[in-house]
Amino acid sequence: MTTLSEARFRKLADAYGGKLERWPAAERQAARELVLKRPELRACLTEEAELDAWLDSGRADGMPASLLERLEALPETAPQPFPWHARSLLKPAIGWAFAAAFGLWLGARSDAFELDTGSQDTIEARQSAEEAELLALAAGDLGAFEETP
Amino acid sequence: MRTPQGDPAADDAELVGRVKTGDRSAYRELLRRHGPGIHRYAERLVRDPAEAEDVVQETFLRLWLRAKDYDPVARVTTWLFRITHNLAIDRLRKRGRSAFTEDPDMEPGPISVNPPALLEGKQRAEALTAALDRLPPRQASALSLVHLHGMSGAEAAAVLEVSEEALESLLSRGRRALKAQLAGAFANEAKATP
Repeated sequence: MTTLSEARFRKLADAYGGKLERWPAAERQAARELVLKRPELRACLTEEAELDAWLDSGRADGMPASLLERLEALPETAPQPFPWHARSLLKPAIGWAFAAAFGLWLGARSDAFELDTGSQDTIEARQSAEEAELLALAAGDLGAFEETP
Repeated sequence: MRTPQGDPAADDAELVGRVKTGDRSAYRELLRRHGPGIHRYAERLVRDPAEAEDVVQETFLRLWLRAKDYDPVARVTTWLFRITHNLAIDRLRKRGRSAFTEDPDMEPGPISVNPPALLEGKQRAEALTAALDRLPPRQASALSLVHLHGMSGAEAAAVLEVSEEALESLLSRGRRALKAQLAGAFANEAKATP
């Protein structure tokens, strides 16, 4: 439990005044208990009561009607706030848009990615070699796939 | 359920969450709750009615447009007062007033206070305002936040961006200076009390 020294009690009264409800919440209960034990400390609180009453008379009591009207109309005249709640939808949308843009860019540059197919003779030679390997495989000749050292 | 006039039952943080989505009724409810206090605090800082109105307008414009900046760790009141405080200080700096470079030894002299018969209601509040105006600005702000706006020490310290210990020091010095200024009024009131 928090305990309060007399010096701290006086310091708090000096700062926050005579109303314990204005004192820091963590020290209020200890202050109440200290006053019960040491009734003479109550005088510290009553000494501050006069200034407290003055300060209470200065509490906020409204604002000019013209200002209030202006502030109430502010959402109509000011730009709309960014819909931050829609961010969860925005992120995937940006992702898809980026992917689509990248796809279009790739498509536009497809010439650069065409395979070098070589001449017609080369193609036929490759096809013949592949066919020979397949036939050898069908005949169980695995040696056809053995790598030459 | 939302109502067209805002939602008095909703807490401030929930209302700010709705302002983020462009909910005008939530904005108006926050304006109703905090507008008068913010206006009073802005007046206390800039001490010029027209400029205070501009500060309040900027504060609520920021609430409307930048509600996403609100960190729910702090109370909405603290956040709004801090915006107001910073906007007001910026204006004072532009004006060339060394508003928050406080001279710790500066102690204002007593002000002349009218007899207690005249110090009723509005006039009493005006005498207090005059006394607060004569305090160093940080002391006046600390007193204003705690006593006039009902903030806790921790909240007021957060608005002023000082430690709680420093806030207590500002409050103590401010109260002492106010007592000295209002001493005449206190004496008159004591005499008038049967």
